Formats: sequence, structure tokens, C-alpha cells
Amino acid sequence: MADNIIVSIKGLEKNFNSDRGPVRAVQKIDLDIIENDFVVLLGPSGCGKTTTLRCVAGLERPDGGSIEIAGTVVDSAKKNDFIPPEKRDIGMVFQSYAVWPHLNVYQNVSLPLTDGSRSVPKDQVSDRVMESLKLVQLDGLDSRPVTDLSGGQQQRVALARAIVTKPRVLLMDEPLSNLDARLREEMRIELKKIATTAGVTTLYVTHDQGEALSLGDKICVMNEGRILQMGTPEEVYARPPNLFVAEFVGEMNFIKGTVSGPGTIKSSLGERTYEFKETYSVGESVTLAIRPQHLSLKAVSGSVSASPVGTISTKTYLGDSVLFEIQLPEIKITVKDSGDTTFAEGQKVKIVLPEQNWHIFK
Amino acid sequence: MNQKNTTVLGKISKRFQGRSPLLPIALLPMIVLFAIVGVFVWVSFQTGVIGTPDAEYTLQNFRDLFGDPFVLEVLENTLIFATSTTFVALVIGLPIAWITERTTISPKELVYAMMTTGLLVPPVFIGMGWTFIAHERIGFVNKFLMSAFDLNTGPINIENPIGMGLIEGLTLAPLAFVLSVQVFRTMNPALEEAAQTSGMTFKRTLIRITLPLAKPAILAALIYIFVIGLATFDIPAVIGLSSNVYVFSTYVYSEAFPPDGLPEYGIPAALGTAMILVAVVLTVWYVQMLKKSERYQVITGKGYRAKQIPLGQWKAAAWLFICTYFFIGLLLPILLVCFMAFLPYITPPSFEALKLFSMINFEQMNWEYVGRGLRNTVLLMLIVPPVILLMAFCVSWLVVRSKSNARYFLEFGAFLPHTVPKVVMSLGALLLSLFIVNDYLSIYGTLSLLIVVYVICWIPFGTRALNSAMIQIHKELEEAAYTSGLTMIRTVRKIMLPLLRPTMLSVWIWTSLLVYREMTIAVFLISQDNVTLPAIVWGRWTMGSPNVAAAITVLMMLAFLPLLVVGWRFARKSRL
Repeated sequence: MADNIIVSIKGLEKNFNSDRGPVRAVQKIDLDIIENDFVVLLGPSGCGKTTTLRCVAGLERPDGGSIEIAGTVVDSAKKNDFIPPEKRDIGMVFQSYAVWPHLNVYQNVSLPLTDGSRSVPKDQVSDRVMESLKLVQLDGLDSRPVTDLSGGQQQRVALARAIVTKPRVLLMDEPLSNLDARLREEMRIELKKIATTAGVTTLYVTHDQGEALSLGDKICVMNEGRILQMGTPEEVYARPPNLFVAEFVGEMNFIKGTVSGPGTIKSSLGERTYEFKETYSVGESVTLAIRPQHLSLKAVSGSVSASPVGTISTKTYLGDSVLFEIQLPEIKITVKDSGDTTFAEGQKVKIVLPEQNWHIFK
Repeated sequence: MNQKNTTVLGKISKRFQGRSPLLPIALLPMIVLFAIVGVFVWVSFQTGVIGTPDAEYTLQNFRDLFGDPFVLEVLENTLIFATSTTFVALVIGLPIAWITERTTISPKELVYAMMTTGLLVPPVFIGMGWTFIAHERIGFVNKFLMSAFDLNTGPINIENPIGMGLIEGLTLAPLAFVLSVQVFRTMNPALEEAAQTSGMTFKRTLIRITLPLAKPAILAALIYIFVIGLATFDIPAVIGLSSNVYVFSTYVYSEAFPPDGLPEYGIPAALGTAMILVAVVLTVWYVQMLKKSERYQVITGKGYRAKQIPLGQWKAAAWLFICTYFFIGLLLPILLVCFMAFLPYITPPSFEALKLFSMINFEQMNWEYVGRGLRNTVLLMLIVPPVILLMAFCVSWLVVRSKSNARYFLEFGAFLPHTVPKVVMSLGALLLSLFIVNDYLSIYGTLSLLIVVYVICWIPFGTRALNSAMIQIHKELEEAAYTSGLTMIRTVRKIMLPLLRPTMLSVWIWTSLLVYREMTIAVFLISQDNVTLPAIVWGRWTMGSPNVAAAITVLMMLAFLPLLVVGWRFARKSRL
């Protein structure tokens, strides 16, 4: 096989005991990660993504299934052959940065090399640390106490520390969620660059779909302990297999309807023809979904047409684009238009419905 | 019995998945504690010569206990004493805590210094000082009033439960201060600010927001001090024993160490067993209150401080209150002890008395004996704190970091010494060492016995401090070490210990100070060889040489002054 599988997760299961009884955090997950891929686990909080990551790190013991890293079984619930985190060839970046407050920048990054299981000869430590610090653009700050650094800089230290041992797998647990919005954008681009430069296979956990779409080579959407979709960002965005993924990734309008005939659905938008990719029986309830940018607005003209007419209830200016909320008799529809639009709040408009780009969910 | 222990141990370590080499160290003090309490309870069901075939197993002790009018009087005294203690301690400690944290009073360091000094001074000294001040016959205030108003007896009487509670309350006010100052400091200021922006006045905010928020913590402090009041020995012994006023602890003492006749262990053991139950119930309540109060706290960051109320013209009143307490609670009694140390017999302070000043108490002192006491005290202060730290570290690590259910057992076990009155613990250790293990291990009368009991007694102090310090160290700091390839031992050495160093140092200093001021355990467990300085002071006091006792007290204060200064500085530092 040409593609080299670095992390292989098979039938992973993990249960927790909570106040309200046992919680099945991860339910039989299978996941293969190919060398040098940047894989993002995306999902709402409590979906099991962090638990999966921590099982790969060895910080949690699974209740079922097995995990392999670079061809070695590191944990399997059946055989109980557990390799503790310190013996695994990994690097990890934590949500809280977890830089050690009693050590300075250099000491934080060098400790894995001097005291860890993947230590290197003494004369190489300094070079390796400097190389890492340069990669995260912290060269020159090596003697600073970490507590003096900003959040973004601390996160860079954490990243340098995670890659300094040149691990086979880099694990990141919501590393950007503690940064402010502007910094997050910046770091996002840089993270991808660093991971590519370091040439490391990455497993990245986030609840932010924007982050997932921009960072991942592959995205793995999770909910309630299960993987719902695994694919490239384009696939996940364009072809959500179910309502949950459609709702979670990107913005989407949902309209309830009923199948009224072959290829037609009756909804608040009227009875219209859609391209059916599956077979539906007449009378079946379905949900229509369409992204705001696939809709557009038109001024109401005298001529009667099939397009639904509504009133603009809110207009949110975003700079490069404008979001309109259109109040129809029964529902509200969000439309994304270009920034130079002249429509105003309170105006009556026609919504132009396209032929393509509709999703139909049962 | 040994066999059984190892299997239980084995089971528990299995529950920890065999991952923790710390477990045996963490369990050791608990096993000894269970043994001590077990023996105590066992004795309470025996009459006759205990521990021999002649012993008879019965409920007679418990029947005697609650049928004896004298014991009922003792219980009544104990309740009155504990109530009086709690009342006085809170009435002084709470307002000072509030003033210190929530008003612009300055320098705050001075208030902290004054209050923490109170924590460091052995209560025995204060009890002695107050005897010189207000004893019905010999107290100088009474003597002055008798001569001024031509009275036959002194109008002030502290040899009763209320009076002794008053003195005990004075010595516990600093504790009330320390327990409640935390609450006022960690209260979320936004809650009060929200009240103010909702249009509530200062007074309304105090009544409707601040105090209700502080209530669980204050109640917790109240229970805590009340439990101490129920069990405390020092002051009731120093003041009450000579006047035959007994509370629980002094009653147990007088039964176990009668001036004449055979010691009686059964009835005091029964009373102690009942007392443990009461203390356990109160402690469970205390823990609940504590948990409730923690919900209201915020973890403070730097520069995150509750707003401070300008004192204005109340400044003088606030200082007057604090200084008055400091004077009557600490300075005056200590001054009197120092004064009496240089007098051949008890004389009210006056210029004439100064003519009697001499070094006679020091010259005639049994220096060999005092030297032995000094040596033992120093040894205890050196040995006990590191042992406590080691064991408390193991317990806290497992409690905070382990995921096993066994951690609840450990947490409970480490807290248990809190609920066992020192008198009970000491008498239990005495019985255990004399009647059970004596055939294998002659530990009675040795310093080792004192070390064992001291360690068990103050383990909760160490685990509490380390628990909260470890909880504050984010778990990810430790996990980052594992994923960086560090083993558990190295993680402890390179990450955890350096981060815990300030807490460990302060636990070290504080436990050594607690050892220095401890009298109760020593009084129950000393013999000629393992005598400690506080026990010598106690011995001289009860044998009718109060001036010699005062002289040794002065020596004790001088010898440990440097340590007091260190402890005082630490108290100030740990504030930040």
C-alpha cells in the first residue's frame, strides 16, 4: 500500500461514569490516519473527540477496541497491552497550553529532550531547541520566563515543546480556543505552516468548523461518540450526509416539507421540483436545506412568479458580504448577498431559488 | 491481623491498577489510626483488667457513663465551654477578618502579623497568663478589686466553663480570623458590584449579598471551632483542674491519671467513643458547609480583588478593636508570664514586686531535665514535618490525580484524624502501646510513640494544603510531561515538586510550629525519657510551681523566637 497508515484506531470504545449514570463517550470508532495528513476531529462539546484524542495519547484507557501508532499496538482493551503516554512517539499541545510555569522558554522546550524517553545526546539539545523555537518564531525569547509571555506566545512554546522530539504524531486539543479572535486567525494559518514544515502527522481536535475547514486535509465530523462523516473539507462542506453535519458545518437554511410527487416537494416555499438523489415515497416528511450564499434577492416586480416573496427583517453588514433575514409568511430564510447590495430593512423582496445546491434529508 | 491487612492492601492497590507505588505510604497512617481508635472502642466495652482474660465484655461502661450525675455535669460543662469558646472566637475573629480584607485599613500586614502571632503562641501560655490575671484568689485584678472594695473573694471568676471558654475563645480568635479571611478575599467582587449597579446601598449589599454568600463558610468555621472546643485540653487543664472544674478532656485525663488509686480506662473510653461519634457527625456537616462555600468562591488571578470600603472616621475604632484584642488576648497574658518568671512566688505586678526580681527560678531549675525536654522537642520538630509531608504528598497525589474509587476512601481516611479528639487519640495510643503491641514492640515511653501520634494528628493539615495546591496545578501540566516522554517519577521531580515547593515549605514550617506548641498528646504519652518542653511546663504548673513553669515558658519562647519569626513571615507570604 502506497499510503502509510500512522495511526490506526479500531472499534474504540470509552465509557465514563457521571452523576447521571454511565456515559458512552466514544462508541466503536474506526479511524485511519495516513502519514503527513492533517486530520481534524470536529464536533460539538461532549461528542467524544477529545476522549478519542486522549486515548491516542494514552492519557485515557479505552474500554474497547485498539489503537496502533506506526504499526505498534499501543493499547488494546482485550490484551491489556498498554504503552503509557511517555513511551509513545507523540507530541501534544493542550487547550490550556500547559507550559510549565516554573521553567523558562528554553527549559520548557528542552525538558522532553533531557528528561524524556526520547532524549538526545547533550550536545544536540541546544540545536534542537533552537530549531524548534525558530520554527514557531520564538527565537530570541529563549531565556524569558513563560509566565511573562502572551497567550499566543505561550501557545507557540507549547507547540515547540510538542515538536522538539520530532514525534510521529502530533496531537492538538483545541489549541486555539483560548486565544482571542484575531490571534486565532493568525495562529491558524501558522499552525498549518508549522505542521507542514515539521512534516508531522497531525490529529487536531476542535469544535470550530471554520478552523476545521481551513486546517484539515481530512475532517472527521463526530457527534454523540460516533463518526458521522470523514472526508476532505470540500466533501464535508458540499455533501453533508445527514442533517447534523449540514447544520454543524457552515450555515444552512432548513425548510420542512413533504414529498408530493416524483421529484416534487411541497413546503413553505411552495410546491417545487428538486433533483432527487434517493427515492422517496409520496407523503414522506423531508427537510430541505440550502446555504445562504446559494440564494439571492430580487426586487419585487409587477409580474407574478413562482419565487416566494418576503420582507427583510434584519440586515447584517459583514464588510465583504451582507446577511439578510427574510420573513416569509411561515418561516425565516437567511440569504447571503454581496457587500454592495442596496436592499434595506423593511423592504419587500423576492427570493431567487436555484435549481442546484439543494440537500434533501429524511 | 497482619495477614488481613495485607490482603486489604492488595485489594485496594489492585483497584489502583497496580500503578501506584505511593499507596502503601498513603495507607500506613490510616491503618495506625484505625488501630488506635479500634483499641479505644474495644476498651470501652470492657470492665476489669483490660486486655487480660479477666476482662469482662459488657455495656456497663456506657450505662455507668450516662447514669453518673458527675459525667452529666461534665457534659454540660463541655457544652457550655465549647459554646462560649465559639462565640468569643467568632465575635473577635470575624469582624477583624472582614475589616482586614474589605476595608482600606492599612498596613494590612500588621493586622496579619498580629493575628498570626496568636496562632503560634501555645494556648497553655495564655491560660497561665490569664490565671495570673483573673484567678479568683491569685489573679492580680481580683486582688486589686478585693483591696479596693474590701471584698472577701475576688469578683471575677474564670474557673468555670464560661470563663475558660472566654480564654479559649481568645486563643482561637486567630483561627476564626484565618478561616474567614479566606472567604472575604475570594468572594467574587462582580457579585457585589452587580448589587450596587442594581441600586442597592452598601448596607443592603452587605446584608443581602455579602453575608449570605459568606454564610456557609462562616458556619463551617463555627462548626470547626466548636469541635475544637468540645475536645480541647490545654486551657481547661491549666485553669480548671486545680479548681475541680471538669470538661470532657480533663475528665478523661483525671480518670486515666488519677492522683491516687488505679487508673480507670473503661468509662473514659466509653465517653471518648461517644465523643468520636459526635465529632464525626459535626465534621460531616462541616465538610458539607465547606463544599457549599467553595461554590461561591472565585479563583483569584493577579490584581483581582474585591472592592475596599474606605474606613474614614471609623479607622480609629477599627484599630482600637484589633489592638484591644491583641492586648488582652496575647500581650497582657504573655507579659504576666514573663513577669512571674522572675519572681519567687506569685505577686501582683507593682513597683514593689520589682524589688523581688531574681533569677532564682532559673538557678534552681533542673537543667538536665529541661535540656532533655528541649532536645526531644527539637527532635520532634525536625522529624515530624518531613514525615507528614511525605505521607500527605502520597495521599494528596492519589486523591487528586487518581481516577479510582479508592480515592474517596483515602480522602476520608486522611480527614479522620480531624474528627478524633486529641485526648482520645493520645489515650488510644497509650492503651495500644501498653496493652497490645508492648509484647512485640516496646514503644511506650519512647520518642517514636510521640512521632507516630503527632504525624497522624497533623496529616489532615498537610493533605488539605497539598490537595488544594495540587488541584490548582492544571492537570494538563502533568499530562504535558507524560506526552513529552517523562516518566511518573521524573514528572513528580521536575514538574510537580517544584510547583508545590511553596506549599510544601509552608506546611513544613507550620507543622513544626504545631509540634512546638503541642501539649495534650505529650501530657498523655510522656515518661521520663520522652518528655517535651510543653509537658515540662505543664508538670511544673500542676505540681504547684507556677513561677518555675513561667520561667521555662520564657525559655521556650526565647529558644524558638527565630522560628516564630520565620513562621510569621510565611504566614504573610502565603497570603499572596
